[in-house]
Amino acid sequence: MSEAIASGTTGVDRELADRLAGGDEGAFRELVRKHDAGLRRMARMYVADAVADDVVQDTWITVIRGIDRFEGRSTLKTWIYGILVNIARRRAEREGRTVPFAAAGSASGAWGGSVDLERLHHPDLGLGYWPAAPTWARDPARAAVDNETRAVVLRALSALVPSQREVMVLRDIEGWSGPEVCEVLGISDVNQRTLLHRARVTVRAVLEEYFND
Amino acid sequence: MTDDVDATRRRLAISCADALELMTDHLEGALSQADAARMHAHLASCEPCTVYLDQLRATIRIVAETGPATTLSLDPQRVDSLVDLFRSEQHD
Repeated sequence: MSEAIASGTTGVDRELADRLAGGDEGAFRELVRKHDAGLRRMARMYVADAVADDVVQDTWITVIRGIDRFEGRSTLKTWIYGILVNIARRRAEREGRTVPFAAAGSASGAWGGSVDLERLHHPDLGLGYWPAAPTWARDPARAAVDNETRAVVLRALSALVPSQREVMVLRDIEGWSGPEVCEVLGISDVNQRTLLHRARVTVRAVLEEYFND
Repeated sequence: MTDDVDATRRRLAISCADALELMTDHLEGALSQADAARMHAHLASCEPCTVYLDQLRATIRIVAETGPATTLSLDPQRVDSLVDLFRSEQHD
């Protein structure tokens, strides 16, 4: 119940779901317009581009056939994306692709900390304290995101552990809320924030190297 | 000198290493009241961590501005074929 409140289930969703269940083509068209491109982007995180559209097609079929099972405990959006994630993961598994599965990325994998401990060695305060600020040679606050920076960021994202990339793309690019991401990926709030933190810290480090180059 | 070090450590409340791990939770407003107070005290006295936090914010902004790896525009033909699919499912 609290999840539904957090992700903002609205009467609008309920009404739209009822119209879909009643065979309202306009309602379906509206839904496709709103979510199809996002679903295709999401599917491409799991499977090859050529397969991604099949996954989205299967998602829409499942939505059409299952709309009367939409109970309004989540938003229509998270319900639909949840269906996509299930289908995409199964398909990726079948094709032997590494599945970004956030639930598996919780405590696994060594974490050396946000910053190498050797950089955190203050002459008086000792280990764990900055000796000096980690300044960047170029001020990113002033720099517009040019094509080169964009390429650096996209490379950094694709190099992330898949579970971290999954969360960071949804949160920081697609602009989803934390509760939405938890719901669709089936992970806890703590896990979501841990993955997001590690992803952001890793991308920050790549930008640091790039801006200091 | 030891007194100064102890006083500084007390003023900082937590180490920089610990503060760094709390930064996303800090930005998310997800810290416990006690951790939030420690973080506040730390940032008030630690310029390097304040700089780092600003860089983390800049990273978030840059990633957001980078946008998705692939921009997919809505294909009207695709929408029509999905609506056809919807229609055919109604008659099953």
